[in-house]
Amino acid sequence: MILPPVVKLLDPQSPVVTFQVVVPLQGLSPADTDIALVLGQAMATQTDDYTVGRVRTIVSGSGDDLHATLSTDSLRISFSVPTVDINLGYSLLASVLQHPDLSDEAIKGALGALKPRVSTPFQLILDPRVHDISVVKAKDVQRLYAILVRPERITIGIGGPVTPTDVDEAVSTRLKDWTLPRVPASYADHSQDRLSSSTGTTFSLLGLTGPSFKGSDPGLAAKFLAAFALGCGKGASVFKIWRESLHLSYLQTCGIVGSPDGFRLNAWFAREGSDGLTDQVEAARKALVASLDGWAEADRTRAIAMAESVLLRGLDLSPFSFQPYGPLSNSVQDRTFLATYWRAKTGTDWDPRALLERFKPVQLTDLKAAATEFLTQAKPNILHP
Amino acid sequence: MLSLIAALALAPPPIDQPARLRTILSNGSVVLVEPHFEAKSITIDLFASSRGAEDSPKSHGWRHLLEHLLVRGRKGGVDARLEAVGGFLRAETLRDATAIELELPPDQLALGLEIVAEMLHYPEVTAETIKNEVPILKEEIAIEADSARLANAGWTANYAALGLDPLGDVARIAEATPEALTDLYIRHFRAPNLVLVISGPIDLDGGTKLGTELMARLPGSPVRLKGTPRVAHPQSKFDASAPGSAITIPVGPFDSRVTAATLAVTLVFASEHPGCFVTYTPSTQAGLITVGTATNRDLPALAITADADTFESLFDRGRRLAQGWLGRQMTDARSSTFLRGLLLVQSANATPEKLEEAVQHFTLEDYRAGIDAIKQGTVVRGNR
Repeated sequence: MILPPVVKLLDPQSPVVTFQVVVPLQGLSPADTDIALVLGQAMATQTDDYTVGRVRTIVSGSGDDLHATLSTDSLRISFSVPTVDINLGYSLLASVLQHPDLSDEAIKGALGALKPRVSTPFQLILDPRVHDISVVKAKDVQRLYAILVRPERITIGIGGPVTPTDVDEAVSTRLKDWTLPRVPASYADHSQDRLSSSTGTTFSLLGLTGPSFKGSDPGLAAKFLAAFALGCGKGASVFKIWRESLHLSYLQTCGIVGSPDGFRLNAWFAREGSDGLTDQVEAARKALVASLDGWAEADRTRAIAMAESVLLRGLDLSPFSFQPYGPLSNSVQDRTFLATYWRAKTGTDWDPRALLERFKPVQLTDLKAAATEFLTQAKPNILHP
Repeated sequence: MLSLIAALALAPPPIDQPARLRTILSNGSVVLVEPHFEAKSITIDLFASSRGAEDSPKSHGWRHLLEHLLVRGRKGGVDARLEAVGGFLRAETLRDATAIELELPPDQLALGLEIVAEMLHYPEVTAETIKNEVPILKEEIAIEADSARLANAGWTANYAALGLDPLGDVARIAEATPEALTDLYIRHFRAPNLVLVISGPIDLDGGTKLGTELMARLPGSPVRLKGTPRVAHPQSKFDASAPGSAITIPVGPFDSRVTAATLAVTLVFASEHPGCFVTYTPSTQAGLITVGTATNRDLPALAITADADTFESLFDRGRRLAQGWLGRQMTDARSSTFLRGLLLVQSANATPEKLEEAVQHFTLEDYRAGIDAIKQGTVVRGNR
């Protein structure tokens, strides 16, 4: 029996143990991605072993709930339990993975829960895809479960006051008899992404979405550091140019999002009103590109100092937006997710210290080049009110 | 001096020190130092109570404007100095206080205190600086979260002028003058209104000495201005410029068992209806709990009151959820310091432990009172 990789994040101070599952969605068609949304909702509701009420009671003392979120490249399933209930947590994890309730009735319930929900504008600027679940059937969800939720495909993360050997033993004991359904045959799917062009609210969001690059890209350090230089803090360029100089916005940022084959930089700002948005986003791009000429050594060292605070000291200003709600926080849940996601995405351990060391030799010229490449090649992304 | 401060910040944990030390100075300001040797950063929070400086319909948002201008610093460049070493400043205008928070690497306590000292002097404000800040505030108000809009409508419905949204009204903000802001600063940042909290890997005595030296320089008397107490005059229905809907429930002080039980009932509702939010900011005064949804457009607020009767059987889960909620507010040194400071600036005896006690000990009777309170809460209907 193959066991999924299990990432451990040790946090002796945490009052909860958190369980994270990352299911990569590379290669999934738009139609199957819509089905994955329903699959996540069903898996995060109840299982053959635990009713919805029992699940809610198990997680209730953690200040967290069992939930699934779909982002640009993965499905995240997440819950936490108070430390004293760790064994219940392991059992619930095993049940969610092996015995989710995907019956007709459960899928009907999942669809009913999802249909009235709307994405926030800040979700849409990171991932403007609109999911159509109106034609999803239980058999579609069961098929996708058989394809996606397999030990060789998923990555598990467990964080909190845990001992690595205990984690391995607990997971192995509960997943060693996982009976896997046969992988269904593939079929032709020519569905297309549907993209939103509206925030669904009273303000606009204007963004620049950069080209995708792989985790093995030799320029990754410069590109990631460019996200810190452009977007992290009030000394960052988007704050200084878009907010302070141009008075375009109160909220603006530059972050790193997942793409099906790697990562992208993404910069955006929120703006009241709806007039001349195309011109505004181009003016914003032009001003930001022009500002790069003024970048000095102090901008590079500031970016590295901020990266050090985010990566090593947990400053809640992360540019990593690998979930639909925006940047990851410093919570034990998000830290465990980040470590799990990184392993699933790159096949390597998340090592913030090593990543910081890769930032330090990045020269100012390379940093400017990475930022220039992003800004000049980025596609505009406009969401109207 | 600088090397002494650095040494204090990096001192090893002494044996037999209390968890925290609160010092009330003769000018009425308060210093609280709470060592957290496991923390990787120092956090310095400066809270200024809104007692005597509350927003009024005429000055709605001036406190928020003042916050924006103050954090630029007297000499300017506060953010540049902080971020050069990986530090960061956040500020927030709340109903009960203005909060300025610095997060710094452990060896940068001196820089943090230097910046706090700057915040304790009124910045140079001109008509021009106000004019430049108004468009930014306008953008901030435009993107206010839908959950906040629903909750703010509830504040207005229950507390009228005493529940004004701290973000403010752009038209009123644009009318502020340098003189009016000077007057506001003097009332808002007078010594008896101030609490300084230092936490992180720092020596208790050394941190207290530095904090008290800084705050003792402020002129003042220990007499606290009297604020205007909030009294709820609930309306049954109210509209909000937001999607979705909510029930807003006026509650008593944060340490009341019924308040804790009401919070528990709302958390039960949210756990039964994923996508719902609950907001509550602990206050020593009358406050407001909001439960609602801005993202589930089919769930009317009235479902909350209809469901409330079924919640009695979920009493145990309600307590666990309330414990979990409190646990999240106290999850790390930074968040627990913030809550402690926010309560302390309202009353010298208000502590998170009192909130914890209310959560641990509310009874089924309190919980039923919470259910009744929800049924009588104000229905806020989003109108878009």
